[in-house]
Amino acid sequence: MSGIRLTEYLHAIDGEIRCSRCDHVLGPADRNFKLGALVRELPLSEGNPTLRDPAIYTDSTVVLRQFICPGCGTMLETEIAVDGAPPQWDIRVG
Amino acid sequence: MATQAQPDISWDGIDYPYVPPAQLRIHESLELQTDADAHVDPITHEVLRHALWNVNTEHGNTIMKISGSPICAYGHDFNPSILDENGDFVFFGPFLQYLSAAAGAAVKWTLENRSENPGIEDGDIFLTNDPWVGSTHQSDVAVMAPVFWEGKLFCWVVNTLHQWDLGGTAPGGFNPIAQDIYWETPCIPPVKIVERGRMRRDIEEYYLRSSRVPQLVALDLRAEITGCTIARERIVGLIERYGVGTVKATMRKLQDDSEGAFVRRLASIPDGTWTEESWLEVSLPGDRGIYRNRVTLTKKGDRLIFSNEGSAPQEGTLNGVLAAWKGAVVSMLASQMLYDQMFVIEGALRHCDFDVEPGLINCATRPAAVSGAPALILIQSIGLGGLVISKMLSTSTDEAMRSEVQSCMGVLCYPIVAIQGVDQRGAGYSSFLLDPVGSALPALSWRDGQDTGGWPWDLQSTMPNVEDNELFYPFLYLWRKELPDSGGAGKFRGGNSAELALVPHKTDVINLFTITSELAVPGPGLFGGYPSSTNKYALYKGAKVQEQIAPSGRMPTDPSELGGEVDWVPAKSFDRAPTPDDVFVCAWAAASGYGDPLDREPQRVADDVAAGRVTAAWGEQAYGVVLAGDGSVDTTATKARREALRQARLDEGTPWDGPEEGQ
Amino acid sequence: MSYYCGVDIGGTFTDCVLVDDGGTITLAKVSSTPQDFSQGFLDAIAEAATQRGLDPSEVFPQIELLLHGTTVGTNVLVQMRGAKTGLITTRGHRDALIMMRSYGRSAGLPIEKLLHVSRHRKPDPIVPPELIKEVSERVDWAGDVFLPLNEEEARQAVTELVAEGVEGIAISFLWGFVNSDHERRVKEIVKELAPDLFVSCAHELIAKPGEYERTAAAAINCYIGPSTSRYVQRLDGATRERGYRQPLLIMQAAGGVVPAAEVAEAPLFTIGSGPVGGVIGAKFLADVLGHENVIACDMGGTSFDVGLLHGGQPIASSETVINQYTFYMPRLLIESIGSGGGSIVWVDEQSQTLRVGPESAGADPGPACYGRGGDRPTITDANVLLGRYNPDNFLGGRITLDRDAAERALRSVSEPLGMDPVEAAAGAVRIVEYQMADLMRQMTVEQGLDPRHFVVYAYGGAGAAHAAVFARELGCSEVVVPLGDLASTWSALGVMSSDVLHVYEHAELVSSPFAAARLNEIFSGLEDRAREQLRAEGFTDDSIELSRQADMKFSLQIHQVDVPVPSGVLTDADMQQQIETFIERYEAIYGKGSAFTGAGVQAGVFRVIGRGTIRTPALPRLEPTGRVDPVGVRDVYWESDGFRRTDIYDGAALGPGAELIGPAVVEMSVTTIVVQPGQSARVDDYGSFVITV
Repeated sequence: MSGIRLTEYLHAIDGEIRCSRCDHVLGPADRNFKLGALVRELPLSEGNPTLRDPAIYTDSTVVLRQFICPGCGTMLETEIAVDGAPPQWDIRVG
Repeated sequence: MATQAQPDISWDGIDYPYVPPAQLRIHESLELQTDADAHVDPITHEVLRHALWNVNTEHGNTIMKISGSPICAYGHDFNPSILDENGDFVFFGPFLQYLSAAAGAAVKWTLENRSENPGIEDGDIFLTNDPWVGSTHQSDVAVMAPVFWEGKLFCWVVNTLHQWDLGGTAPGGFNPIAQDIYWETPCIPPVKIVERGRMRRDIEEYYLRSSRVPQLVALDLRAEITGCTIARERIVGLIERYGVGTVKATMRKLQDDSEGAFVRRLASIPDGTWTEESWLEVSLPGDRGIYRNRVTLTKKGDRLIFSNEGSAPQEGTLNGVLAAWKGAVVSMLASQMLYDQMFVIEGALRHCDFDVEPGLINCATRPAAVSGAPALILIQSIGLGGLVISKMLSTSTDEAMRSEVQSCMGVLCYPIVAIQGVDQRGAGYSSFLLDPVGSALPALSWRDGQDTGGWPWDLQSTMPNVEDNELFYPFLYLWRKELPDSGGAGKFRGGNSAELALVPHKTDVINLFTITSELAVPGPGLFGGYPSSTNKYALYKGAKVQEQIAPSGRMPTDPSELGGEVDWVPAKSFDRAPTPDDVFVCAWAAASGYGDPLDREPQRVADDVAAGRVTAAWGEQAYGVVLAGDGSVDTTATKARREALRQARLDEGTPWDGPEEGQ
Repeated sequence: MSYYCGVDIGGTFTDCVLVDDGGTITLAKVSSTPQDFSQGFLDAIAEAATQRGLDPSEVFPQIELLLHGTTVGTNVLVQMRGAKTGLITTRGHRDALIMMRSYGRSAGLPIEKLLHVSRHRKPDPIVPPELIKEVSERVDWAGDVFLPLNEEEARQAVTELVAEGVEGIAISFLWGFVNSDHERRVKEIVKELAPDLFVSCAHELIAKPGEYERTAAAAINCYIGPSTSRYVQRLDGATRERGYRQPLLIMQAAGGVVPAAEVAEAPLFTIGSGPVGGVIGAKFLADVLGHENVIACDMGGTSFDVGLLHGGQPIASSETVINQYTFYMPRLLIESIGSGGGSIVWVDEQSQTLRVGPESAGADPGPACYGRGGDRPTITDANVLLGRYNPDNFLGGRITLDRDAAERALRSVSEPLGMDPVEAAAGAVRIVEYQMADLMRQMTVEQGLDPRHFVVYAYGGAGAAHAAVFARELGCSEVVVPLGDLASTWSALGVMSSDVLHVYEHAELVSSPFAAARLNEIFSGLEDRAREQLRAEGFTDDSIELSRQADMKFSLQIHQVDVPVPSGVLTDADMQQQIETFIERYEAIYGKGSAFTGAGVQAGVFRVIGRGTIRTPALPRLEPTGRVDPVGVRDVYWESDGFRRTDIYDGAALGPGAELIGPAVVEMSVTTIVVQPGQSARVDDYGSFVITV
């Protein structure tokens, strides 16, 4: 696959970000790819069964956020979302 | 390395951290030795390269030998280094990397601010613990010795060592309720502790005066000074043997070769910007807030720019200072990109800029409280640095660089368990647990993280033996075991961490203080990997283990087997006092996962389950691997389960319709 | 006529040294027989007998004592070919051997690997997790029982392990060496349920705190147990069949031998005994020559091993690392680096500089000049190109060296650097000599010693070519290449000169002021055990030597120093003196003023070394040969002035009284000695070659 390999499952080609698995276009390269993904929010314990309810420790909300390729269902990325913050735009290449 | 400065701020190490200018302003009375041979013969270079590395090793061994402190030997909380005449790095030792990085700033500040008065001369040695000048926090004391040749300053040898106690309101130097720096151990900007080969008795006594354990601190001071003196002698010996131009040329070549390797590797990477963040918890006891620590790495051509933009404002006791933060975020550059250059970080630093906003939690201005920095914000920043560097390296066309991409390391924040009381022999004791240095290594794109494999920036993390602790402290370990499922799930699994359970034994009570973060927020997974476990403190009040095990004859090995009421001890506490009727459990955070768990080879999951690293239930839930009765992979069921899990993702996931970043 | 016989088995060769009553030494060297090492053992003795003019089938009854050094146990561990082993341990602590205190991920790695963290990995387990069984029991540091042994769980554990088909079971409980009741009970259960299994109790092997390193010792003992035990018993039987009447004595890493029956139970202590024979040989010779401080080095094809003698005694250590496993075991301190004759010379791309090792061409294909298909240049190739090695008389003519091949190989690295092959050869040799000097300097300095006060003994095939330079680098004034031709079977000589040696330890933490009464109890206990064992082995009291030590430290500092303790009944005055002796020794190693006495002194381990002295034939003085002329000249490269016509001597013709001035090369059947310009050399009364640096 030509273009630039971004992550395990994403690459950028011709100004677009695509899933390396199924070639689904997640959006233009100058936009957060997460905005083109399916998002699922789950309690932290769904991400790791040893995790306890964060409410024990903090009043902030802390959840597991998953970003899924709409084409093939691959888990593209996960993040920890605090107090409903927008998806981190953590990869900007070019 | 350059730091962007807002024009109206003075980055002079007084209220704002010190940022060295590109050209140091050194008094004319001090001449630097800058001549280097034009050509270095390849044999001599090889011999001198080893000789200089050995100078550092001997420097470090000298400190360990004379000090004899457990902090040195087990915590590796020190690091010797060699810097050139400008205070740029030649070699660090193989100990705590980020300590050295801060000391570089201290050397440059000394060159700028002490070359005139009192002056810098042959035989002088300077000392500082000032975080705004170049220390990680007040307990880490840097000792810096200029090496002269024929009247000119040739290079520096420096070491930094964590001290037992230098005074202030809290023993040991970390004050968990400090509202600002005035509650903490005082700061000492660089002072001349040895003048032309002779210890300044007045400065030494002043330095020791506020300590609760002046004899031990005096011994550590002697260790640091002797380390520098020996290192200086060795370097002078090399100059005498090989010539000043040759030794200087070797130093330059080490830096240049490292830079060459670094630039070549950068060239394989496209321009871009990568970000990662995590959270610090509980700024003062009773607080339930969490505070963002964010690192952004931008590559533009052959420059890397690190930024702290988006991090929380400075807060309570959580703060870190700039020199230390810089050292932390670049630590992993050495590990991931310069492992074959003997970690000569200067090569990378020549291409690093730091675009920092002062007044944030990782670039605190005075009078913020900073004594708690290293165990929390600094090692967390090393971890975040590792993640942004990994995200960057994953775009490289160089396979070797891609093979260094790592998920989140274990123990982003160290779970301090400080213990104090009367031991089994009737003597007083005061210490803290070193078990969590076992940490866990991150997953890579081609292998699992090593369970209890330590940290990737500490080459030989060493946990104490259970028996070492039980010999000196009045408790028994009911268990110390690796934790299944703690390592983040992924195509490659993050290393598992471990947990210990203590019951006070042959004492009435143990006074226990906890200081940490990462209880609520786990380290994030990478590229579809799942998060790690977090640190954990739990006190089982009234567990009464002896009464439980007498009739059953069976030792509990899991919290689920304990009686009593669980108290989820918070990230900062000072009032827990377990007795032999109670059990204190502490687990530390594991490493996170790499890649989609549904991509993991099912046989690996079966092997993990057989070895007890992953439970069968989690194997099915996260990895979609179904095992037959004999533990082998049920291929058909696994295929079906994985399809179902993928479908559930597609069915339950929805496009993001909330605000975007920056809106 | 009766004989003493020492046999040393190495990877490639098996050596035998036969010494008669009059001190005449006969040597033999045969190929080792890895399929069944005992065959090579018997072959070597037969060969030595033949050389001596004896009928091989009649020699055994004439052997008074047969001593044997072997790497069999070590090899099993290094190659991970050991027995299927189970471990029974304290419930809640089954992961101790798996966690390896975290540092197992990088223990013992050379610096290049240490710095590459993404490749750090813990080694394959000695005991896989499914064969580690937990049993409820708990003892504390004082030996008090917190939870009695759950016998039902113990039986269950043993039954499960037996069902898994284990060949051996290791038993290790927390604090089991303070209160061994539980370990002993479980051992009884194993004997009851599976009497043929190999069993190891940790407390029987090691009596020190540190459950990881102690459990690893117990597990490794079991891991190598069945095969090492079989081997030792087979040998013992074979020698007995042939008429040898005494117990076969086997070398241990602690620097002495023990009867074969003991090794069959505790083969652990033979691990790493390979290079130990060489160091004991050095001590044997040092006693004769009157050298108190010796750096004993062995440079072979792949590695460079160094041991130290200080005050006439080898310096010891109490733990070792193999395959990243750290485990307790009493041994002589011997450090190794990968610098040998076969070390490969290569170019680092980034810095465009020359490097040497740690990769080695080994024996196969070996150096390019061996003509076995190797094309990468090695140190041996460099020595050939520099004229030091004679292609037609290398190792007594056993191997013909191809100088052209050496040159081609060196050109492949010199050309990219813009050097000629000779420059590269000279540079490579300089680098490797520096590396070796460096190891030796580090070792001595770490012990608080000054290398300039030491004599260098250089044995092994490749050391004598380089010793004159690294000794000079260190500031030593003398190099001894031991006993000429005997140097090739040096380890066998060392083994043959060993005493029976046992180490007894008792761990108990005591703080100053020390109670003399308690120390007397502890030492009497240990000494009674020592005497009992040595008497059972046939030693009379006048051949029994006991010495005492205590491991001491300052309360708030971590460094432990082993300090000799006087014999006899200890008094309060002795207790005070003990502290002063400790402070003196501590400061000698760690520096004046480094002792922090403020928080008091502790002692943690008490040790008795029990030695049963074996009469060793005296080393014969040789007939002087007087002045001997060189047998030829050839061009040899010297750093000071390039190629120069240099005198070549035949080592076999040189005897006591022979003297020569450097530069010179002495060719011997087992090694080549290089004497640098400005140095001189002579042969001493015993046939050793002595270079004045």
